[in-house]
Amino acid sequence: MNYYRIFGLNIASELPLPSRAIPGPSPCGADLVIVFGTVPEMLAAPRSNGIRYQVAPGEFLLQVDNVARFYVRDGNRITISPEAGAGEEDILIFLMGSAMGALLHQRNTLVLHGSAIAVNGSGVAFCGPSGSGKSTLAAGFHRRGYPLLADDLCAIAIHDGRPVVIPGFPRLKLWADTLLKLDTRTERLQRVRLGVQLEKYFLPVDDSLQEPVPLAAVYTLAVSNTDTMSVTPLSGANKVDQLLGNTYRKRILHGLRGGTDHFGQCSAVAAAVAVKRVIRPDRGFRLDEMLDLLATGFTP
Amino acid sequence: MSGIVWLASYPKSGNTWFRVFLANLLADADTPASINDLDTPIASARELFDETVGFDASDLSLDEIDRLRPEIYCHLAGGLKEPYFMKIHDAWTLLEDGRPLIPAAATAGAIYFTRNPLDVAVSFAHHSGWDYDTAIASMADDNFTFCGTPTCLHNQFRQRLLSWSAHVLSWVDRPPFPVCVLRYEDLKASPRETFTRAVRFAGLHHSAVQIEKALAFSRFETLRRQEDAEGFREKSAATIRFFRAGQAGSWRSELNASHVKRIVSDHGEVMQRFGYLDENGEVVC
Repeated sequence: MNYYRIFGLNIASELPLPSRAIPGPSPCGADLVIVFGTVPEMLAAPRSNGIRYQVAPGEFLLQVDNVARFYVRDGNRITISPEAGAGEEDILIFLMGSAMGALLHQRNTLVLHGSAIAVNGSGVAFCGPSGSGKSTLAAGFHRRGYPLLADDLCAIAIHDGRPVVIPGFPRLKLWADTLLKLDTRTERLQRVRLGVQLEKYFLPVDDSLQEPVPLAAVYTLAVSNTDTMSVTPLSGANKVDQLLGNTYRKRILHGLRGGTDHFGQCSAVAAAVAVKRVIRPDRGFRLDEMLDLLATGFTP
Repeated sequence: MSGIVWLASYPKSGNTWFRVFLANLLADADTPASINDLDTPIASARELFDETVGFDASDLSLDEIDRLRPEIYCHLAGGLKEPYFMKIHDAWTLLEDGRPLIPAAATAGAIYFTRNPLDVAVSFAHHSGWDYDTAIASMADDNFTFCGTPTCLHNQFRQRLLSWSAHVLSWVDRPPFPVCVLRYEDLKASPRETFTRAVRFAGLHHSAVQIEKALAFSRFETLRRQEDAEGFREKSAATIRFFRAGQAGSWRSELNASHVKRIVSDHGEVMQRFGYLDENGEVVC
């Protein structure tokens, strides 16, 4: 067993995870156990399903062709059944994504589809669909010295009535073209997938931040085919809508536990933090210009 | 008729114009539908994938994505009670394992838009920010592909278009489902008859009056005015405007003799079949 503390959870895992290993086991036991083993073919009574997943209250089953099947149960156990010939690297990326996302949903943690950095001790999240630039922005700010809190899955809990970001994996997933823009060489980086042609790499980052930090702002990203680059603060129901819309794997979440408390969580976060809409041009990321623009809005 | 009705075409062949018409027809409102609110997503859109499959397309290779696409369309079609329209620029091709990318099981039928490749070359060049030689070379390339490089994330999935001729033949001759072929030139010259044919093919029962109104609301001038006022989110970043000329025959003032000769030499057979060349090999429209 390997022991870690990720997303605020004490994790005991048979699969080595990309995070700082801690001495274990924790005296209080593990919040999450990740093991290799037998996984059900299908769920007995799925509430919803896609072409490679099934969801029921407390249960999530995911099948990644030629990689593995993942069974996520009761917010405390992930069982992995690898396909013949699948490497650990190929399994890891799906564990860190949908499987971990479903587990956090099962634990009633709000998971936004985004990355987050720490600015003067507060969390700033960047959310948006694939390709909108979440990881690129986080990588750009990390290079400017801001610690990374999360990439892709941004876990948010309410502590004493205030939303906090719970640090995730200390890794950024970046495309080769993005790394080129960041002047980062790819030779020594681990590929996100080994078995297939995909020019995407893990960039390890400083992992000094292990404890939750208060969430200050959520920026939601959209791409435009004009030259416009803008940041617009939102108010009222628009803030809630943006958080609902940028929740990680909404359909899986609603299959696990319905939508009611999801709306409550998003409303609570919207009431406590700034939510801003960011439009960036499709052509040319103009990263530094964008980092400058966003940084002017950070609370000192 | 249930299942997906594919609105298939090589780029710049009238697909978007038809989608605007369709949005107006289905809305049946008193004012023109917004060009930024066309409810006919493209089959290669990323948004559809992640929630339907359960994991990120951005963690898959282009081949892995392709292998899942047929199942996504079947899953989508499984819940349909009415015809559902999807735009598509992929050619109708088979995957490496022999399955069609666009399966008959998901499909009610396809409306295929074809356009004189001489005009396509002009429009495609403007759309993409290319010169005419590049557009002509792309249209002759049997392996022509959108979004095919594996080093970055594209806003759409890889789309194999093949050459212009192969694209047309892939949709017109190969699919094991009904295909209604419409020429852009006929949409322009006899809109009422041609659009009505497509409406009936899709199993819609709108009246002649409703079709007439939808046509009036999707006139080129209206689309252009909307784009000038509020932009068009489907416009390529490489061009100033999407609704540029909207004419048939503009190649005559744009292309030189050598451009025309190359296109006719690359695509003469298919051009002749669809009435763009007469029996003497002369360009018709």
